[in-house]
Amino acid sequence: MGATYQTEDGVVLVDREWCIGCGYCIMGCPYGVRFFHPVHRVAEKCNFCYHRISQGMQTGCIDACAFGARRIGNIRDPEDPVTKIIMTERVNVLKEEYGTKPQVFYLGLTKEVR
Amino acid sequence: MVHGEVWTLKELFVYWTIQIVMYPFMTGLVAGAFVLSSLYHVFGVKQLKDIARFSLVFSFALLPVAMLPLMLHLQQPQRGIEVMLTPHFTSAIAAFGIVFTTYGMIVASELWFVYRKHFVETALALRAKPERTLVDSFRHLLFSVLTLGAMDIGHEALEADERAVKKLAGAGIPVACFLHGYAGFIFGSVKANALWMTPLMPVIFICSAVVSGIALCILTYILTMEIRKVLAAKRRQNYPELPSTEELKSAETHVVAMTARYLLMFMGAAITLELLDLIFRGYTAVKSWDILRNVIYERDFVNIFIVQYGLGNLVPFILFLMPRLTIRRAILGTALVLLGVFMMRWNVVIGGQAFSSSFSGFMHYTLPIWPDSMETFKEGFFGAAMVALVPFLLFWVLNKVMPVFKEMH
Repeated sequence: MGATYQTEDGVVLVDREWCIGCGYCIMGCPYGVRFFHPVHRVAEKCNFCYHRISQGMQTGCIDACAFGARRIGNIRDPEDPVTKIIMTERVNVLKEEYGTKPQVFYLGLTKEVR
Repeated sequence: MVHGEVWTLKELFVYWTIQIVMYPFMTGLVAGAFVLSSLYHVFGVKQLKDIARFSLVFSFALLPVAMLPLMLHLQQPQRGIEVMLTPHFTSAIAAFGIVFTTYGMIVASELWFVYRKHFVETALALRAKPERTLVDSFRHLLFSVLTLGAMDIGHEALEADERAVKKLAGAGIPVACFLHGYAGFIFGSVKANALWMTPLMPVIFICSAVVSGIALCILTYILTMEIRKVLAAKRRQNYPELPSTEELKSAETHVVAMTARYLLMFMGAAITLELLDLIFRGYTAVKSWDILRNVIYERDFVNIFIVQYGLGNLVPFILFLMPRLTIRRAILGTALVLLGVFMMRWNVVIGGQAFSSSFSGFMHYTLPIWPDSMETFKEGFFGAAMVALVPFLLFWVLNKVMPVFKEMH
């Protein structure tokens, strides 16, 4: 229906007013990360805490991670520390063969992770 | 409670359930019934004349029911109408509106040309009536509106009607195939699902659609003919010009035998394609084959090989190929064919969700039978049964306006 859209800064979101709840995107997600929101009864996915990052804050999971294993940055900015890691270190993405152009990078990802 | 929690045992949910099985099953019947009627209208298969009008009306009765299972499945059913009202050219789900509306308009206009003469005659007869009851007045209004003001039923006008029917039926075949090919596309284009993703999916769906549509038309045709026989026996006392039970019976056997031949033809094509797909997957044996083999040959073995291919394809194939086809055998055969096609949809929809997308585990689905909430009603046995019954109800209503057997008193 076109309820999924990408914001200008690159985050993919679902319009809760527009989604009809057919579940097609949930079926189509190779990562199995989409689900029905139990309250709003529409498709939902990780929204990278858009309400937080658009206010200059970190995502909830980054704040919560006790070991600093998670980081978020602006890949369009070559000076961003996260971009530098992606450019210089051995990073990988999940299931790139599906052509989804994933923007979540993992350091030291092994092929056993599927 | 999260959608899917009721009927899934593990933490990964089966989201598409019985109504999504019903959806391709019902659209398949729509497309199949239409193709059957087009065999007469476009290709001039004269022997199918009797069943052609019947299947056209039946296809129209089935049409709204293609939408019903989707509405019952949607988490936001009140927004379902948006699919029809807001065209969107990159969303596969939104394409339903375009495909469905095009097809609906073609069938509706074809029906109008087929029944225009009947509408005009009925409207004129009612107009000529000196005293009209309330029902008569309502019927007069209804039939007058249905004529759309085109009252000419002269020879030339009727010939023009026939030409229009032929053109519409011709245009309708690809559109009917699109309607059902679309359902196949919806599954075939899910690249994340190893069982669904094949460009053969729309073609497989179309062939099995035609099979199921013809089978249902034969079955319903037999049932209505049986009712007619009983009625004819009663009414022949008052109207001796009505066909006798024997005449009806021989007409019925002839039509059924003829239609069964086309059923066999399309069944052959459907089975060939399905087996081709299976052999291809087994031979190429890409990464996903390990888990697919497990699902196809072990977990769903009974559903696929015993019920779908055995009972649903092989047994009816033998039943129809045996000489001297009887009505009883045709009933059994067509009922088994319908079961087979239903199971094919089930095995695709439910079987396709039986394994995780990382190929590392299985999910189990149990159909909710007795409803204890709106959700278990809508997406349970009774919801599906309701979807299956509605077309017959609609057919009964439509038959009052567009009689499939016109000579009936």
